Amino acid sequence: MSTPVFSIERPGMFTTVQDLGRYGYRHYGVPVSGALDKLSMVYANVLVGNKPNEAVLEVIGGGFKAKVLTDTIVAVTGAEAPILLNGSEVRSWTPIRVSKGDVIEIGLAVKGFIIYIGVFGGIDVPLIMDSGSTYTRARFGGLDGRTLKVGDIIHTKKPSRSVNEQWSIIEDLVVPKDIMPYMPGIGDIVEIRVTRGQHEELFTEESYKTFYSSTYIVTPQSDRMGYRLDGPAIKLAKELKGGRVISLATPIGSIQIPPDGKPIILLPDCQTTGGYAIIATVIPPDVDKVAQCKPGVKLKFKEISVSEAEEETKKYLNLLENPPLEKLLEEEEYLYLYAG
Amino acid sequence: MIYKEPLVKGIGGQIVYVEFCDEISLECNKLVHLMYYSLSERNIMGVLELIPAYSSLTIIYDPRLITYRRLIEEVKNIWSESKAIDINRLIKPRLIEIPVVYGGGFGPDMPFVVKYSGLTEDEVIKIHSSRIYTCYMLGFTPGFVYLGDVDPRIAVPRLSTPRLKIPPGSVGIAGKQTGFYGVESPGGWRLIGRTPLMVFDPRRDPPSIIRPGDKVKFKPISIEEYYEIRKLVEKGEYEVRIEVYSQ
Repeated sequence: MSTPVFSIERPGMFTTVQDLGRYGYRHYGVPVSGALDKLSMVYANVLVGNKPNEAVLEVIGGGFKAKVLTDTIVAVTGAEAPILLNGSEVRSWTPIRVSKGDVIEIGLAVKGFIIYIGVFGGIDVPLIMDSGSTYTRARFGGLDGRTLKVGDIIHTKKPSRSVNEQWSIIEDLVVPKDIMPYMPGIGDIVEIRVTRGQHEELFTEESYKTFYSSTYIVTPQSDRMGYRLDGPAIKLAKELKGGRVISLATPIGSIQIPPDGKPIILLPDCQTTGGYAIIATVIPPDVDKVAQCKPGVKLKFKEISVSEAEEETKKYLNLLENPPLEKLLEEEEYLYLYAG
Repeated sequence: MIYKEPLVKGIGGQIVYVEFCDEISLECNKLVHLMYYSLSERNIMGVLELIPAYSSLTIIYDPRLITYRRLIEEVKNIWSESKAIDINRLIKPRLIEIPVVYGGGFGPDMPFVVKYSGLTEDEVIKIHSSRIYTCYMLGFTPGFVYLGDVDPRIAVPRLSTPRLKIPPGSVGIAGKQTGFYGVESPGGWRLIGRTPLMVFDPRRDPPSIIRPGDKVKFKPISIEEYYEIRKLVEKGEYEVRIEVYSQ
């Protein structure tokens, strides 16, 4: 049985249902899709007591408003944006108790770019190839394979326990400070860790020097498929036929160099294969960081070794599978504990 | 050129890239499929996804369960045994018949192909439908099937300006490649026909009729047959013709 939870009054510019993505179908040309910032997404779930991989709403850039249709618990994570419950500001990254008839409103993202709304029980959408993620380009997954529109009714799955019971378990949960992701603003330069890519041999050391020493700015020509960057053009060591390599798999995080030399970072809705040379690949935890850089934020790439990349990926995958939470301590209790 | 040893590298913390050649050829693509099916068969713990392409195979793995160094060894072991592998047993290639209405509204570029090749429409249809093609890979959009190689007489260049919307099931040619679209999408291939089959259906498992390495043959049908088959497909009553194929 599913329960209507939101009536959408303002969906925002690109709001979809997403989970961690659709794996195991790339050899059929099916993109992974799923949340752009997976760490924020899993926290939108666990903060309401869901398993990490339930479907949530992904709101790009903010500007969301919905009427609450049932008493439940929600959590808003990801980018920093004002969150209003019936006009009063409430906090992000913590459980919020809402009642039938409430109005929840999220303003524009101030720092960061992508916002997640998790709901107790998880958003109820049919699973397509084992995932609730929306892939709008081929119109499948999520809510009829499309972005939300005014008047949509969002449903949740029937939770395993009552809202009261759930609330008593999770009400004082917060995300440990050392795990809270940093949300970049305009003026920031975000360091992104990469390893060399599939076509290392097609670039000169000079090209790599340019690539690592320059800052690149995220342009507005960016979407769930990839972020296009502007900055010093990267030259190939030799001219390619038609500016392309033989089509190869293009995993999320791949940094492609098209003929104009301006890098493109591939994100979850990217095509499964492509023909642009890949200079480097962003490590999985830093794909989340890239996603949170709105147009105008600058990036700088830092090369790490493949073994280091594996270590960071291990930590990250563990984090996604089991995102740690801690109890919010009362100030006195806190002082008592930490004063010894 | 096919490399003596495949180029293998670890990338980004959960990717291993294996490249066999720097060309698009059936000979090289066979090596990709050999590696693809060998790795699938071995069911190596920690291997999450295998994505074959024309000349390369991409492995996605969980670094908590296996390292890129270990995977590179696995690939090298398979490579060293590859000459002894019976490809028919491994790939179990299937020959799949795809009915197609050629020309008319379903194949808007047929007049171009006729003009470019200097052949008649019937000759183009005969040439296109008489070959058994190999599925090099799927990619670009869900269920897009890349087949080759096309008879040089009908190997026409792609459109200079891609179309914005191509209906699923459309069959096209681009150079020595032919193939079909699984979902509605933009695209620049010259369209010569359309199949009534749902070649890709996200709600079906597997979603695509064709697997990498499969053999495909096109069967010319009439417009009447198209609609008859389409009706059966929509009711879920059409049985796709699949035969075992030995190479």
